[in-house]
Amino acid sequence: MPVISVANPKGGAGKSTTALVLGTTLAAHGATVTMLDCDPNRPIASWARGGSATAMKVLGDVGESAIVSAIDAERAARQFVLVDLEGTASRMVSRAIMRSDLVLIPMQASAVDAAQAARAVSLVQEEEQVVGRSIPFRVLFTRTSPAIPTRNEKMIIDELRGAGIPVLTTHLNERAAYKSMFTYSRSLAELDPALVNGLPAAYDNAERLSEEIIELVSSLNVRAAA
Amino acid sequence: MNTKPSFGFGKLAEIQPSAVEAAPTAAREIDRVAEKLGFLSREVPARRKRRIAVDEPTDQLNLRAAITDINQFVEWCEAERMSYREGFGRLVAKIEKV
Repeated sequence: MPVISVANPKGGAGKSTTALVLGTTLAAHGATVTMLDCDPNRPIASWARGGSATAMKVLGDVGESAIVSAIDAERAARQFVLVDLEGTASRMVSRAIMRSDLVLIPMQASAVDAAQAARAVSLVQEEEQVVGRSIPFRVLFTRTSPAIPTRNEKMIIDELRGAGIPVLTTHLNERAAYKSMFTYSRSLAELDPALVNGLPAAYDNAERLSEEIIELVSSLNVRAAA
Repeated sequence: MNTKPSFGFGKLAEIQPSAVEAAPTAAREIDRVAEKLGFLSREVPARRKRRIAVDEPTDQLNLRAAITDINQFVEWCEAERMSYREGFGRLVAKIEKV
């Protein structure tokens, strides 16, 4: 049921990596997942053509005019619908957010990413007013060091918390394995440990992120049902 | 250390597909709000031209012909609502079949 859009108008914030890691991890645990690749470069659609055995279904040819009906059709049949959005401020982004149960806003701990993430937050909040329901969103820090948080990171996290912006506890760390998913067109579980460094740590990070999302979605379901 | 760390995947089965309408579609209003914040349409419809484009270079052919032939050609082009170029092309196509 949950439609999870991954949005940040800034390119390179980690949207496609987040979507791919999350989608393939959920699918590996037996969830039925559809990924709508709405990035004009179609990174996940081309990933899917690379021969991965994942059960995740990838739809790559979804335009602005078809996005709403595509989301509605998939949500009726699949446990998770992930929407990987383009790294630009567009009508497609706003329409996908309108139909979302959760918006993930990935960002690197940089001022440039933060400024663009703030645009996504503003859009979500404006759309909430229009649709007359809450559209939950969470900022997800990407490409962070798994060891020591940088000063920049701490400062930006503090600022977001201070402004009441909800941030996921789990970060998507900087891991070579995530890049290798695109290089070899495979899910984490399919990657060869002889070719890719740090797979167990990446796998653990992906599991924790997926776990947090499942917990979050479950709690949102309960709240919606109440 | 014998216990496996607990991940939250146990709740996965609780999450089921649903056709429930999350909210009434307010696309027009959403588009207006989005536009105000700089989220613009990127699918600008292309202007459809009436003229049929030719996908190869073109040149001119000036010829002196019998007036009756010219008249017949012009009448045929008018009846078929096609340009002289198109009419000439259709005549040439008949040569290829011979």
